[in-house]
Amino acid sequence: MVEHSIYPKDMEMVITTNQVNFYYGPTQALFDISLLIPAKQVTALIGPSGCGKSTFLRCLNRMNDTIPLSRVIGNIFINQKNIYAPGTDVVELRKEVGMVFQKSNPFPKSIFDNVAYGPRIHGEKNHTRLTEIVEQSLRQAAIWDEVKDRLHANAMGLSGGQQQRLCIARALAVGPKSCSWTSRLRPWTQNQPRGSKI
Amino acid sequence: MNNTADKFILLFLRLITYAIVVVIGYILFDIIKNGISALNWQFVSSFPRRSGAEGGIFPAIIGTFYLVVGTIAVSLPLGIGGAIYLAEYADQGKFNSLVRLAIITLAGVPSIVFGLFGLGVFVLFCGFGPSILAGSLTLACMVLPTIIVASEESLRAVPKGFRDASLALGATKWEMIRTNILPYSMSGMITGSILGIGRAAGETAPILLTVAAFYLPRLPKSVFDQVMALPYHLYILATQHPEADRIRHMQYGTALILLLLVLGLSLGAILIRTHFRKKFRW
Repeated sequence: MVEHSIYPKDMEMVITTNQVNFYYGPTQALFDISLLIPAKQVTALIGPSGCGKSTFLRCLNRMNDTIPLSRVIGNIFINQKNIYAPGTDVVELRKEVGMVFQKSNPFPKSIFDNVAYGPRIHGEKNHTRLTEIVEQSLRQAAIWDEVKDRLHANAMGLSGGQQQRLCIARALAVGPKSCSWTSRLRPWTQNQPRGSKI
Repeated sequence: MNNTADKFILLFLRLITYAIVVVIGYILFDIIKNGISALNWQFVSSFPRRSGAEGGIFPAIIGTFYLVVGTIAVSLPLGIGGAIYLAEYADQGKFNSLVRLAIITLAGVPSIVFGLFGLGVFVLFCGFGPSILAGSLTLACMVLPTIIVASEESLRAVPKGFRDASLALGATKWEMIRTNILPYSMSGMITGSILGIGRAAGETAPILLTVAAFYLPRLPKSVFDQVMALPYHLYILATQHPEADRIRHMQYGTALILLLLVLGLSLGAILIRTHFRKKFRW
């Protein structure tokens, strides 16, 4: 465990990583990352491009699993649970640990369908409820006023910045179903400043 | 100097391209010129008489239609399923490279070999006899490589961002494929498949031994019946018929109908593609 913490002793930690090493095949990308990330706070990772901020974030919801030949050594605890323990439900984990990618990637569907995507695959069929979730998520991502009149227009027609906020709304839309603390856990990477927020 | 070379290359490439158009244009012109006189409602709607020297080609049209439908029904699910496995699930290991190699090799197998394979496996071993079923299965085997390769390409063309986003939202792999890969790759898969099937519709060798009847002026009652088919009928009229020289218009008419059928399939492919392109553009 991390011994020298900059945080007060009684502060609740949501993520703890212990000597995390990450490899893309033979190339090591992360070296002994031991971090504490407190709950209900915004934590920012800052570093030059290519230093591994996104790689680290992708370890947190095991998105790196999709990269062939990649390997993680070390432990990551989210809410006291080791997410790399055998038998971990990765799909469940990703529901709780949302992620917005550096490069905006809206689906070529309508704005509504983009935001409703997560709730829908998790079984929400009620249209009224979906409409509520979509509006709430779009408001939280500060894009509601810009798109409320064209929810059924294709998301690819939005500007770059709007697309990114739509992606944030889409990630938020999965949240309300997860445990109380997880809705606070929304990592995304931003262009300005070049760093990653958790 | 460079400029001259550039102009020369441009001229050369342009000539080659035009040459292709000339060849296709000539074939079409020849067939239409000689076949249009045979075309009338009676030709496409009535049964042949006197071994096909008179009457129409209705049973051959129906036969080819059934074969195309059968081929689609068998090859599309198999081919698309295989492509999904290869593009989304299979690793890059030795075994899967071997599978890929087998598929490419299969694409290069001559059609008469498929015919003999169909005769051996479907007609004799499975005991289907010469039938629509055996013929469709044989044609399906022949177009499978085309469908798999076209579908795999089309699946791989879906940007990684869509996959990542789906997974990060908590979709399982199959949910991701179903909701965010298949809809976007559908146009490419269907277009490639239909073009392959259109090609199969005009094949003679695979159906020669597995389904096609020389002269059968009635309609099939089940999938275990033989049928006439346009390419085989054309082959018979042009080379095996005792009055081959006298019935040129019948031959050209049959060729024209076959062309129209394949053209119809391609047109269908184009319509499907435009529909999906409009729906999902990125």
